[in-house]
Amino acid sequence: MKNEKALAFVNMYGILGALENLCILDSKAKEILKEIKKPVALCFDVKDGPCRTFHFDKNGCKITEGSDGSSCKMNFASPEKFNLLIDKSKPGVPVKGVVTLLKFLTGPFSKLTARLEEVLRPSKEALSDPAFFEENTLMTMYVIAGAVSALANNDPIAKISAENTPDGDIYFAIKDKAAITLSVKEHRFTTVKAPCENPRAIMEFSDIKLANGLFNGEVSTVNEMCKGNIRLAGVLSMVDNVNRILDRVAVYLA
Amino acid sequence: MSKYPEYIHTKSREWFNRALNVIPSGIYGHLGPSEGLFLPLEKWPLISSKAQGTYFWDMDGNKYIDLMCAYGPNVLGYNDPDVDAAAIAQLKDGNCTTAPSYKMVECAELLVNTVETADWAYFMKNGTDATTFAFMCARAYTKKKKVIFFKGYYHGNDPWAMKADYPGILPSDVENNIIVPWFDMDALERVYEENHGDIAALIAQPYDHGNFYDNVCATKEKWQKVRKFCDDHGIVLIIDDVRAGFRLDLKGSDHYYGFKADIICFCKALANGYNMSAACGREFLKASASSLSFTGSYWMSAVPFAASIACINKMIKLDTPTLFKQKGEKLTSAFKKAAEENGFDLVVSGEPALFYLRIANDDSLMLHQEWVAECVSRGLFIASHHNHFINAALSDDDIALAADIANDAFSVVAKRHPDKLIK
Repeated sequence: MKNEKALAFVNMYGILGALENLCILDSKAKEILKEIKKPVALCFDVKDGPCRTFHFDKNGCKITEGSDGSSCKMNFASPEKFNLLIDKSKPGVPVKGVVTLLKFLTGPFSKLTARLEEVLRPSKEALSDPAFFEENTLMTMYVIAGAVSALANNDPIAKISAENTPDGDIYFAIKDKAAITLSVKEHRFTTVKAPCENPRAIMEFSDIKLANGLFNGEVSTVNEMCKGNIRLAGVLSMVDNVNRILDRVAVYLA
Repeated sequence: MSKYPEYIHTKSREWFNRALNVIPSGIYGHLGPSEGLFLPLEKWPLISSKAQGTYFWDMDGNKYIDLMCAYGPNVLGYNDPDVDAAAIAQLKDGNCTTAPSYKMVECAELLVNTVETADWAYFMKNGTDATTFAFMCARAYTKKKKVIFFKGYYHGNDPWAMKADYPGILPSDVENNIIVPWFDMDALERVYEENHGDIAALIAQPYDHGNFYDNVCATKEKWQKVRKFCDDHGIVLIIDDVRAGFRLDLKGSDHYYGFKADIICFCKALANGYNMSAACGREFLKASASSLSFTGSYWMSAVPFAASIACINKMIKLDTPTLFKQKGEKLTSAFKKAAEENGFDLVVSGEPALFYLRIANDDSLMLHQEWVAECVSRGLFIASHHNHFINAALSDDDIALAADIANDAFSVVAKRHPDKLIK
């Protein structure tokens, strides 16, 4: 029961949105970035879907909304076409900076997305390294965080949960490791990959191992709440609704 | 130094850990840590060993004044001697039998004589059974399919009464549900037109006693407009009185608000903890009620009927709605006074018999949750997200003790957050 438009937003804000975090957290990604001789601002513009620009340089990746400032651009005729880029590496139609675009897409961008896949879908052996296990968990959290807002605003079922979520900031975190903010205004969600000062609700996992288990569906959120391993506080109807959206995230990211 | 030292829950926690091994979530549902919002978990008793009157004890022997009343069923006091005597006597005569006991007939007659709108009574076990019965009965009578709910609704756990984003629920389970804001007459007329009149029922609680927000009492005028809307369009008006039933008015909460439901659903206060629920309805729906295929193995067990008869008669004798209003007002006034003395703005909402509390010093409920946790860990069992319940065993001394513990808990929280207090 996936909606193609909602999936396009998950792919843009969840999967590709995690590139900016990959470029900060991952040493191999940093090596790939060194190949970039001149900054590239790559825009993906999806008809009836999202439009974002990914600004790459030697130091990292920054993402902006819309196409302003893009040096190259690729159009997709529909959300379905864009989803094929993620599922089958099938590109859209280059419409701006074609030479730069093709060179970048087949070069650093492909390498970065391949590395992203390695980090997000690792082998069991790779996960036995504690440092990589932590990186995988944090990256998964950023993907999920982007996907939550993408679905809250676009998936027909998650929108029901969003409709029942009051305004305010939700602090979503792994204790002492990372925190993001889900900001809700008039039932629309925005993911901010940074902690907030005055949350109305808190959902904090006690450690990396627990977070990893929760993200991979190996342990139950409710069970861990009952054990006291998830710190909850504030307007819990917000967290309750986010939990329902997380169920939808699992469907889309499966 | 706190006047009431915090309880320790070592044994309760051991039992809870055993529960976690063999029961999903250890304690699932509203009595458990997740839906019950035990924040933080270590402050809560989790598992009880015994109960009496308005108190229960946990596995460590800690004693709690219980203002949740098992989320409603404790209406006369735990182990009420009159109700228990009737139940035990019936147990000796027979309980779950092939031919139902005459107690079922007596119980139905008592409900029909007590509840204003009741021309008949139909018995089942839980509130969900009663609301589902009412929903099916309305469909059977009207031959229509859609149901109107008021926003923030809760009418039990059957798929038809839930929402499409709940685990295990399909959009098709709830595709016939229409949700409108409380008492929004324009919205009601609009959805009636939009759905070409294909509406079997409107189901609502007697007032908005939802969770996580201040409860909003209804008015007679508002209900009269809804009643007229249903009459004009041939819509069955179902009142879900599972939570509030018999606490506002022994004739039904519809009577309290000056109108007559077509079907009214009862459960919690019906038998002082013995397991039964009932739907009562008007004569014109009796044939449709008869037509339903809707029954259960224990629905005609005699012990709960005997308990219910004793419970209803005692509620009549004590005039519990008047008692609950007085006790609720006295208790919440004492809580408000304690809050003010410690720099807190405690908002009390809803009907006094089912009062809802919220500390308004911040907008996140975090201070409120902290205060509730400090109350619970000192022996006053309340909830941070849900309305509370008064029972008849709650004495003036109990109210004084509850207020004193509340005051102590306020002082503990105040010391931690001097910057958030009202000067």
